Amino acid sequence: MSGRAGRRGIDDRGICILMVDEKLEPPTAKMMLKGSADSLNSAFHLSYNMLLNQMRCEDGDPENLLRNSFYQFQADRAIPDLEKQVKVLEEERDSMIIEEEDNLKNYYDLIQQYKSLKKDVCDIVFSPKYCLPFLQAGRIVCLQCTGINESSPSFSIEDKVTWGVIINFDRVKSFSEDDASRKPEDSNYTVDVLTRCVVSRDGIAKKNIKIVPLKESGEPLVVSVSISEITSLSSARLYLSKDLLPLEVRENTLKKVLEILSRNPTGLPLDPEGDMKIQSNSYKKAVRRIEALEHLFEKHEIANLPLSSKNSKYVTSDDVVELKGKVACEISSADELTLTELMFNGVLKDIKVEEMISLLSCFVWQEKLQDAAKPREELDLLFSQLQDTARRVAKLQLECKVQIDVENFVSSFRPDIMEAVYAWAKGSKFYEIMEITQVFEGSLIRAIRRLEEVLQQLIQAAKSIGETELEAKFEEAVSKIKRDIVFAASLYL
Amino acid sequence: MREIQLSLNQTQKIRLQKALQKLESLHSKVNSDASVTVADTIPISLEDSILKGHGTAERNGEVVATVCGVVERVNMLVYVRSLRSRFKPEIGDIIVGRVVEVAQKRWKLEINFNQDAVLMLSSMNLPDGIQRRRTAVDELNMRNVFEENDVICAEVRNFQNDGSLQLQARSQKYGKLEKGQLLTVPPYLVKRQKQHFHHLVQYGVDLILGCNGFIWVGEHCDARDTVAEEQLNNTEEQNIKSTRVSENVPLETRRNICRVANAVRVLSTLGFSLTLEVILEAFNLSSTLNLGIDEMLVSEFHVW
Repeated sequence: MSGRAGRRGIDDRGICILMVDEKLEPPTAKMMLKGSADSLNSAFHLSYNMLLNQMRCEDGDPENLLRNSFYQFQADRAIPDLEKQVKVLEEERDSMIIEEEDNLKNYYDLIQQYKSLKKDVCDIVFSPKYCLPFLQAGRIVCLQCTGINESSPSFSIEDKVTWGVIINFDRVKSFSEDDASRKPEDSNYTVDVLTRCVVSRDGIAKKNIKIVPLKESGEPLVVSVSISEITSLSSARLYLSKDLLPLEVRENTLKKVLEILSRNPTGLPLDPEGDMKIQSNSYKKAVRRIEALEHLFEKHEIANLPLSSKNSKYVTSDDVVELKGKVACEISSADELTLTELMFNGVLKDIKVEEMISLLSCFVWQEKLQDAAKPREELDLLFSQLQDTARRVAKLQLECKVQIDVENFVSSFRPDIMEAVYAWAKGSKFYEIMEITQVFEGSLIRAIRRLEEVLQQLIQAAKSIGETELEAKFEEAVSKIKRDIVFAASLYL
Repeated sequence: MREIQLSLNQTQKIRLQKALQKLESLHSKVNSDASVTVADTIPISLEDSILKGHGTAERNGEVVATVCGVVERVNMLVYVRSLRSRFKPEIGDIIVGRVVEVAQKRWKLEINFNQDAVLMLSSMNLPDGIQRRRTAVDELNMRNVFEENDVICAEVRNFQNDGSLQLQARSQKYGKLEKGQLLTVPPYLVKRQKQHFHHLVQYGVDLILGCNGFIWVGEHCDARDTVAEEQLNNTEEQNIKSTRVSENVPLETRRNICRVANAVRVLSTLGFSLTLEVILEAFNLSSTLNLGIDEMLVSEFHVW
């Protein structure tokens, strides 16, 4: 619990009275009052800027920096625990004796691959685009039985499946905000299927319905399943009676299913390519891959950051900082690599000052805004150029085996305040730009101030490469945004 | 290559010519299109937005070079890198300089630049090694640390507003340099490398390649405690020290120092870029002969 009663330095004892207005479990209350503080976990991250600046001076030793950091210290502290876990797991493994371990391992790997590829095929076949026309009432489907854990490995290729009859299907209303933009063929569907189930009642009076194979005991019930639980569709269709409420009618329907199955053990599956006319390329590829299994491995490299710098001419092979590296050394308030690339590609040179300012605002705005208005044409064009550059930088990092998610990185640049900053640069008043966007005033002011910092650093960078026009442009930009209430030192005007 | 101010006799001149031709044939891969002289137009495609860097200017809508050199392109940036120029300092460069003035709370150093560099008192380690504010007493004792005409090695910290350099000598390996020779070479011969401090173990010689063209060759010192010693007993130690300087450097080390220094001189006259390997090779080559002018002719055949 934070805060305490009493005057600092004077009272050594204080009384706190807690007014509780809702039911609290005793352990929770105890944790609130006597619990320990949040543990301090280091989030140390060595940025490219720091790395380049270290390489600049002769004594710079980034590895030493990493080794002596708190992050490393905590990682070292965690080693004995990890070692204990390793020992326990090793003992467990040694105690399990498996014959012919190598062959078995290969077989198991192959099975896993096969399963994942089958799942890919299933996803394609059962995407609503293709299978909706075939989800007619009366069609026999093959379902997965519930109670199959994905975690426990099974050593057979056959899944536990059962059969049922489609009654109806429905579209699922999801709660995400993008619902309006989703096309009908992309949303989720549930299918009502009549099949054999076992109903059990839990202690808390919740019904648990399990789907079991047809031949086992249970009742015929109509359950809703999502499309992902359907393994295959059959080309056979039954005539359904209109009323399915009476138990005998349902039993009869299931008996008919059993009969069809006994006559055609495979269940007459629908041929995906022939009947359902699935032509997509990805489907064909996946099918081919099922025939040719491959293994993928991932490596985890931690300190490979300098390599990626070398690849793109920031640093020569002797670790001497080159021109691009010197520019990146100056920039510390924003993403240095992307900004340097943008500068060297001449993107910042031809555009007008206000447009340049709004483009740079994408670097300083890290929050995610819902329903942001799309910026106007020219600004959008610039933003897409920025995204291309960012994607290239991320791909380069990926090639040098740095763990980075390309799309995540690219989408970290948000265009939400481009319009507002453009208006501010053009000379609007602050209340006018607040009407354009819905962000908090403080966030916008913070962003504009940070933008001014980035511009100052860019002035230094332009000076170091000798580009006087660009330097003058940046200085003009600073003078355009540094005015009025945003940069007022004190609000007591 | 500038004219070599040597009196060479006929055979030596012929040998020099042969060596130069050999060197040129090796370097013919260099793209001769890239080299420009003053007022040459730099070829660019006008549709791209070109960033104009150092050594370029715009004239009548064309990009024109303002210095003689090689055109370099980095993405959209075009600039001209001059082959021979004044010393152009960067942040993080190692500099060797000579004290010309002891001013208020700073030393002024001459470093082969258009202005004197400044070494602040606060950028220098105190003799007792404690980190504290510099007081007036420290200021009065500045002369005990460095005096006029002392040779110092330091690192560039940043540029001041008027373009002059500010240096710092915070680490143990920077500081006063004693017991050795200071050489001056054209600054463009010293390229920026990973390491500028070299310790030649087998000869016991320290070699510091300052980026400003000042090179120091001297006896090897492990740690620069000279300042600490001086603070203790001023007068007596100073007397003893001056005699110690000439006694303690063994003859062999002094010979090595002179040999290395001559190797550097020769290489700089011939226009070679100074790196550790080249200097060591010249040194080894000259060990088979005597020191002196004769050595210079031998290095003609020395193609690196």
